[in-house]
Amino acid sequence: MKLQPIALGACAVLVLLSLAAIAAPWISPYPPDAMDLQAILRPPSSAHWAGTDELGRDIFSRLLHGARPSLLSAVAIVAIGATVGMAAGCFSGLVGGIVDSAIMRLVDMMLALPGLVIAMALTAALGPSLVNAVIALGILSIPGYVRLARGLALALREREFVQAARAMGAGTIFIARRHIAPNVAPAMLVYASFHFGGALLASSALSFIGLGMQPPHAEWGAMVGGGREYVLAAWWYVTFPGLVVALGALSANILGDALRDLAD
Amino acid sequence: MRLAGVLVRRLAMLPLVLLGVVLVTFFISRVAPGDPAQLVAGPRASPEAVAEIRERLNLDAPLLEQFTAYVGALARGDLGQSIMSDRPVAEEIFSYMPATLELMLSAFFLTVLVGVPLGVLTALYRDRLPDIGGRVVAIAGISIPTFWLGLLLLLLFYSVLGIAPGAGRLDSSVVAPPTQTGLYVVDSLIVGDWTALSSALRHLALPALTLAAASVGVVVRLVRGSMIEVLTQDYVRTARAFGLPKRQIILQYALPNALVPFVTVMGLELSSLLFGSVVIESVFGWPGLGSFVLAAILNLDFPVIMGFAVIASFAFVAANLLVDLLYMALDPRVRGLA
Repeated sequence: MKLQPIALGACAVLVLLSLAAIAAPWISPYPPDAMDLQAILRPPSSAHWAGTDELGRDIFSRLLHGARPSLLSAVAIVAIGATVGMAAGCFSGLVGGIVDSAIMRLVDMMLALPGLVIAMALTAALGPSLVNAVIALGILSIPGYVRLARGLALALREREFVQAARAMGAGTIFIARRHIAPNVAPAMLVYASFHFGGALLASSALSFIGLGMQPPHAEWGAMVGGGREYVLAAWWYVTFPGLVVALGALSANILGDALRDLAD
Repeated sequence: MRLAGVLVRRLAMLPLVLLGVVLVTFFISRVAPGDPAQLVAGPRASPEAVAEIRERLNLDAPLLEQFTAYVGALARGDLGQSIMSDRPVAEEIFSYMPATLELMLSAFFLTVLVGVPLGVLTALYRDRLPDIGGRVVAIAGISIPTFWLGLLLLLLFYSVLGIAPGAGRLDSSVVAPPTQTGLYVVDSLIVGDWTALSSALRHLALPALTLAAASVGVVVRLVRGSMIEVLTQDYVRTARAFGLPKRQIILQYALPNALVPFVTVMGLELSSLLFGSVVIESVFGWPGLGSFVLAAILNLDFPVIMGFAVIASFAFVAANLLVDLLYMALDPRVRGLA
């Protein structure tokens, strides 16, 4: 039960990013929206570690302040998918019969849709905002969790300890909570870890195309989107926010690999 | 037996899936937004214009009636009018389709050409240098944001090295080949126009590479996993015991079996490629559906966004049905029983 060094490094990166998200207001050198029209599109320097953007705002400070919406939205997407998906999947697998068939047909139907394109259209319909992007991406991630949890619950249903609990008169809800959920959790954790990386990429991509976080608020994907017009003039503008997204997603994927190896 | 069952169930599911597509897009276009008429009219429209659109779109009718009207319009290929251009959405989307199709197909081929050999290589050299290198490439591919990779490649190859061409599908001095398929690479091959071909390929290189990166990562990880599994199977051990050449064991015995899950995943990857094209086309000034849809998003041209979602959904369902048929062709166990 030991994590590889690289997985520990991934954990460290995630902890560091979370700390930045929590402590941003106190540790960032400038307010995130403080403009300085005397210092527009300046390269990284000792005054501005990651340079400044087209309004003279400090990119490093905006990175720190952008951590909160960027990470929280990925966490929220995973939370929506995991809680609803796990509950529906365990329920579906345990109850079986017509309820199970109905839920699974619905899941098959949702999985037959191009998820990200539908999430994009749904966000546009609800109105471009990070909350709506999170709702859309969260809903569309539910079927994956349902399928996973149901498969595990189906296998667990036949195991002796579940049969014994049922023979002793335990109800479905009790069995689901006491016997199924704890045994489904490790596989869900692996899946959620990969999903966190994907959710971070998807929500920042929606912000990048203007459907997520709206200006002037700082969010990593939106920052890259703001910098794309200046990409040839100011490399630092798009480079640093994108780098943080990549680091976050990479860490989540490395962690997912390590957790899967542990679970096997 | 199990696989045949899967295929039969998929085919039986098709009407249900199509109904789902229509229901979901109807829900998004009519039920989810506060006022669809306002969305169609745009944020700056007068109340009279909004009322007129409410009337025209029949938004005060009962939902069921609206739904049947929606399905009827879809069946006629009517996706509404674009707000930006005031032309039919379907017509607009199909006019931008070839450029995006060319980009997606190139990314698709790149994914297969790079992903499969790299996946096999990593499995054969498990835990040695090629494996480690391949795995680093793969995890980077799935972790790097597509939009950021595109900008970085542009920065490196256009700005720093100066070898990447500018925006568009061809150099401005090159005449487009006569339209047969709308794919410049194919069209220029048909007429043997080598200048157009090389120009088209140079313009395709960076966007296709960007789009393919994530899928390459997915494919390498998948092929590696299934190849490692297949290599432990009895028939591979038997083949080895009979002293067959290693090459033949890998190419003839292991690889075809390892590729079965890969086919399914490639079908699913189409969704990422389509969304990716919306995100990156404008980065490279690629004049395709992605750039068009992105402009629609920025202008809140709702009919275009919805039309894109509808067409993308139908294309995705059709492609995955095709994948299931391919699956049948590849896997004799299914072919015999279906």
